[in-house]
Amino acid sequence: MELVVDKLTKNYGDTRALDCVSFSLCPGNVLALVGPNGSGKSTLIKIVATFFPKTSGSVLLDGNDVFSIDPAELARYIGYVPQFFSYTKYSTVFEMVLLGRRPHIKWTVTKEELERVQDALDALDIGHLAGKYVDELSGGERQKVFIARAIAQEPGLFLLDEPTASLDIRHQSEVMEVIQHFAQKKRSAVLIAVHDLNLALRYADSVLMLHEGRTAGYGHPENVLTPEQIERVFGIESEVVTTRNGKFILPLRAKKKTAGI
Amino acid sequence: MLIAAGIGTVVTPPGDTLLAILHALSPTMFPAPSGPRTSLIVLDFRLPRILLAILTGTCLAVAGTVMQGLLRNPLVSPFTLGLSSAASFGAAFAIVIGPGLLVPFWAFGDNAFIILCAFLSGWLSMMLVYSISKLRGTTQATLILAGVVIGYIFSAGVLALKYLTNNEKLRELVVWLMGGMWGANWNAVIMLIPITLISFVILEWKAWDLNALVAGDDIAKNVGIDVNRLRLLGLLTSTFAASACLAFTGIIGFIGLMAPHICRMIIGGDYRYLIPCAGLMGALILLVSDTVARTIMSPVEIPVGIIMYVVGGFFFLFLILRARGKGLF
Repeated sequence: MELVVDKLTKNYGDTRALDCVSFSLCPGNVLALVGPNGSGKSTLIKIVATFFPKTSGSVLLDGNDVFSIDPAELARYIGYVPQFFSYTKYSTVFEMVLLGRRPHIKWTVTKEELERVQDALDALDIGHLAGKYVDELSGGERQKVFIARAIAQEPGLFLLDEPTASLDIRHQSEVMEVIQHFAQKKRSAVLIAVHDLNLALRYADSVLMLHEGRTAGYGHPENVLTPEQIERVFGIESEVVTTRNGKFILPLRAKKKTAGI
Repeated sequence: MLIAAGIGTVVTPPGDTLLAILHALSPTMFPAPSGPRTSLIVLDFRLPRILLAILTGTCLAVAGTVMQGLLRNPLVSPFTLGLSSAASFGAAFAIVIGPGLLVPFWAFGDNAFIILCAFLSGWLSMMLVYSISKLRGTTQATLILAGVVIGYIFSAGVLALKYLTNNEKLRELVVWLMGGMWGANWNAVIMLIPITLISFVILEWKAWDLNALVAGDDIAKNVGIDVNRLRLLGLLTSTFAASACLAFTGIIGFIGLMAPHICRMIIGGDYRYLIPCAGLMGALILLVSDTVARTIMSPVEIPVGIIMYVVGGFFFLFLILRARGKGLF
């Protein structure tokens, strides 16, 4: 699905969390949202998911205003993975992923639904955990369960709010590869908030850099994630290193003003 | 159920008990039981009481299960949230004030009026608890403490009613508030059957939505659920079911806490199965407890509320101790 966000603004009381943010995202592409803590990444994702109302601007999904789409219908278009999630000690991995099929299920769970759940589990290589309680899993495995839940939903647009935050380096790469593969194979659009700039550089088709709710850069990752931009927005000196495996951002030192805090 | 209908101060054989029920249903097909007063004892005294225990156990357990899911708090039940005290206050208010000041409404039928008052009062307490749960920084413990405090406030109201009322009604109120099935009669049962059925169907219909709520409000919204509407409908329905029963039985504690937890341990957390399972478990617990209450010191019977306080209190303690460092839910 195609997502077009135009001049999106969000106020919390007197505080402006997002200020005239615009971007577009085509089917099959991954757009990484980067920015320091409190720059508005989660707010942006939650507005697109219609969890928060907007103050002004528009959010169009295939040309339709997301806020005018019936929630039950929207659930078939948007899959969301939160930064923090909850579960009970009685929730099994399979049941949790099955929740992703809720928009497609009336009451009875058909064989087809079960197969879709199994496919989502297999895509993240956690099929062997299906019968386990979520409570028994490691942080990384749990994160994969929640991503599998969104994959089982088979949405046209994925919204992922820092899905790699609690994962080790191997799981981070695994999850990003699955997301990238899924976007290309299913032609889904992916909007993902990440803290690791190297993940954005490596896996995203485009990057939106936010700073204090405003767009600080938008475009191809190599054009946005430059040492100058990173220093201006994150307050850290860095270097972009080119290797035979691609480009990498090497953080060097925090700027004196930031370091002194 | 047959055993419970057969035992008591007068013991009737299971065959006679069954015949008494079948004869009442179809006098031409089944002969009357041999004992002279068996039909009277079984049909007029024990059966309404048994059915009231089953309906009350079902409603309280289902209400507890749904409230735990809606508020995502494992210690929540109609009793721990203060709903029982509030509904009892409403019912006591109707009993004491009803025939006096509110004659026009009383004319609609005393049972209906008692249920209405119990529901309104129960709903007020639930809205207070719900508002508190929406405040930022509210923890699971805060919610329970708020429920306890709200319960105390309504209990104070009941005490005030007891203080103000005359001697005859005082005794009636005191015995009723201990919690018991003395209020059982066919009118109460006939009134509660549709309330229980309708509430059960509504809540079971929302079982999938409750499953989604387990994963958090955002995930529930993402799968197309109107979370606020679900919470209001769920709380309204479960409050109505629990209040209606409590209006006839007085305060019966802890069933809404015990039944869901026992069932989760047996069948897991899927609300499609958990709601009916907890309903059956609640009915079983209250039926057994009430049968014990009326037979253990026969011919004197003790209020079933006392048994539930003891059993439920230990169960509550068990839950808290078992969950140390691991979480209850």
